[in-house]
Amino acid sequence: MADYDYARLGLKAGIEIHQQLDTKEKLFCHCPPTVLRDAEEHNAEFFRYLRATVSEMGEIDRAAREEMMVMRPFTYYAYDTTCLVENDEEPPAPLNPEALALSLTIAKMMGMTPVEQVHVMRKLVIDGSNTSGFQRTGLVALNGSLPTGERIESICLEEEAAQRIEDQLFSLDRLGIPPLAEITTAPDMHTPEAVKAVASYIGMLLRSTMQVKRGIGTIRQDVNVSIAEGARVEIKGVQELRLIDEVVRREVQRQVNLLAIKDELLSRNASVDEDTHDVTALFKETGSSILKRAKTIHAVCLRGFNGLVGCEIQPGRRLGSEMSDYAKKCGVGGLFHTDELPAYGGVTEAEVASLKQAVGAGTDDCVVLVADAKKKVVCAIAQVRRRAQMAMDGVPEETRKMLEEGSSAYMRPPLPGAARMYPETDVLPVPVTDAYYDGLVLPELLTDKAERYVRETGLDASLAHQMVYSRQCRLFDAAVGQGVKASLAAHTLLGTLKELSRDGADVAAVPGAALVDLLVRVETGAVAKEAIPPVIRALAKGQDIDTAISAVAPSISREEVRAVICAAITEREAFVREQGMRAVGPP
Amino acid sequence: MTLSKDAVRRRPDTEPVLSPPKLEEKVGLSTFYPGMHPPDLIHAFEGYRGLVVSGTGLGHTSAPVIEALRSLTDAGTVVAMTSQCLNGRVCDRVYDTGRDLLAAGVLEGGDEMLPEVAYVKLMWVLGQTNDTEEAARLMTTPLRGGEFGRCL
Repeated sequence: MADYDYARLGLKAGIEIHQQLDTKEKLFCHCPPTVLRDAEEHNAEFFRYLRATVSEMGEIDRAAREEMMVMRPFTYYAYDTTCLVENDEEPPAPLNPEALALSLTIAKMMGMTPVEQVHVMRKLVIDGSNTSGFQRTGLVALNGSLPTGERIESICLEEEAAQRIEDQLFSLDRLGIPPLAEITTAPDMHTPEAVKAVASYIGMLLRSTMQVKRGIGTIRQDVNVSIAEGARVEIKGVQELRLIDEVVRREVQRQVNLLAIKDELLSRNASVDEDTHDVTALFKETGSSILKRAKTIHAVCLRGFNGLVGCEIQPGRRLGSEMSDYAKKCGVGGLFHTDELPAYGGVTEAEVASLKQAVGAGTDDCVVLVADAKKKVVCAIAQVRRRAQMAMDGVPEETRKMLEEGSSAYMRPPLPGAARMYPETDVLPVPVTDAYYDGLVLPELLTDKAERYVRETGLDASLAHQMVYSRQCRLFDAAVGQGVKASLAAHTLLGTLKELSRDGADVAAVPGAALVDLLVRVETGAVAKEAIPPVIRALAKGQDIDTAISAVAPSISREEVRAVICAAITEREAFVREQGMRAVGPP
Repeated sequence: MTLSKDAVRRRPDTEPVLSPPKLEEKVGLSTFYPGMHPPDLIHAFEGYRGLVVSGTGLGHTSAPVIEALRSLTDAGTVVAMTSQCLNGRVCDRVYDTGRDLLAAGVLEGGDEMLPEVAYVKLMWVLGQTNDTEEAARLMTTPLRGGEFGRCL
């Protein structure tokens, strides 16, 4: 990929981090947020239609209106770990105080100012991911900053959405809500690398609380990117930190290419035809099964677009893909355009020629086809026309979703307006007093903790770094607190466990207390160091520590050892006499 | 609907009975009905240490009855709201009526408790403490249930 001069392009980027908090209960009910369920285990299922309602301001939200273009029932799976609150059949419980304390602690770590009262709001979301048709969210604190100077605009506490199992089917185990902290930075980053650095610093800060969930999907970043001539685009759902800079790079690339397309279109004096052509008859005998099967095929001619619709704007994405994303909102599977015909899907050269003739397209023009039921096709062609018009203005403001490897696809119109939020009247406001905020104890940052390990226990710096980021950090603290040498604890908890797990031992089943106990026994000499792996393996099979030790490494008295050695020397007397001291050691 | 083993709580044999079983006898139980006369309510329960009201729906009464309950709480009676519904829970945070009840000092005490259960609990609670705030805390805390406040 071309390396851009980001300063010259005027890159501005900000991020929004959604982190699941590790609380005992969900945000607005008393269900356990910890248990993610197998969809097979659901014990109830129900469905809902979701409609956007007019907000208290008298408007219907733009994004919601678009979701409503196709009205479909959503099905939900419920479990014995979900309750009527998730079903939206019961009013929410008061805001979870544990989640509030945790998000205020995170706010305090970034020097933010808490709100005087947390007011829960409803944010309209009718894509099915919430049974109620809205997501509850509350602003907790404002205006903080990072040590590197980037500003943090706000932190909100939010319910997590339901997990989509497939198309219109959702699972309620996640909905409602392992509570989610949403941290929004100002658009203060000007290179892809800076975005990554800030995301990783905030990630470290969150983990320092030791009360956030871990693993893929438990933290998600949304990235806002714009360049000077482009537009503000929000890319949702970046789950892996390693991709975040790539996402920014590819979005810059997309905007640069869309601007180049715009210039080319303007120089060609391009336009979008007002009329749609019904070309169903042209494809009656076609070799393309999709076109042949279709009830209706409509075509629109984009004057001056030839070669540009098929132009790659981002790895794996063309202007045609953008039009296709818009068309899909009408329920169609996709579209065809003459930049990729006849090479694609069994359409012949002659068919393309007669198509071009039918719509009156010249060599500079591109024809876009949509094939499906009539109602969907009419809707989709209108969307194609809309997106083609936008191409002549450059980069449209959009909310997009990340695809694998860092490209993105259109999701919905931009950052919806104020009409999307209204007060949640079922949850009483929660006051945050100065005394309460001042009293919150800040956790030690993981980076500080790693330095402390090096300083206090003499642990190697890279091991210390690994240790603080590991799930075993608490066990390490416990073991070292009981006199175990730091290097022994770190090597066992990081190295040995990983090796054993690679060999198929279920190390997750080993109780932490047993591991600490084992380390203490090794340190005091009651168990040999070499016995650690087999003992852990036995623990993983569910044995208690004493049984495991006596089975694997029975302790042995000095006299017994002496007898074993004496027997060996007597048996090999000649060898010992011949070799002298060289007889000691491995054969 | 099936209930998992964890969802149904049974008392383990080993669990001791809370002691001492000292109960406050000046506790009342009253069912709200449309047309209820507020003065009757005040007259009946004046001087009581506790009163459980079995309200409608989410735990509601008429506006005049709210005023009667306010005068009782002002005089030191602990008033807990329950519901005449067999399933579901009391929630006085959804409608103005509920919020007015909360503002009148009524507790959302009967969380998932039938009025009769709340009545016995209030008798026990007021048998343990004279402090109104402590009584309110105990009434809204699960004392004998494992999981609390979940309708499956």
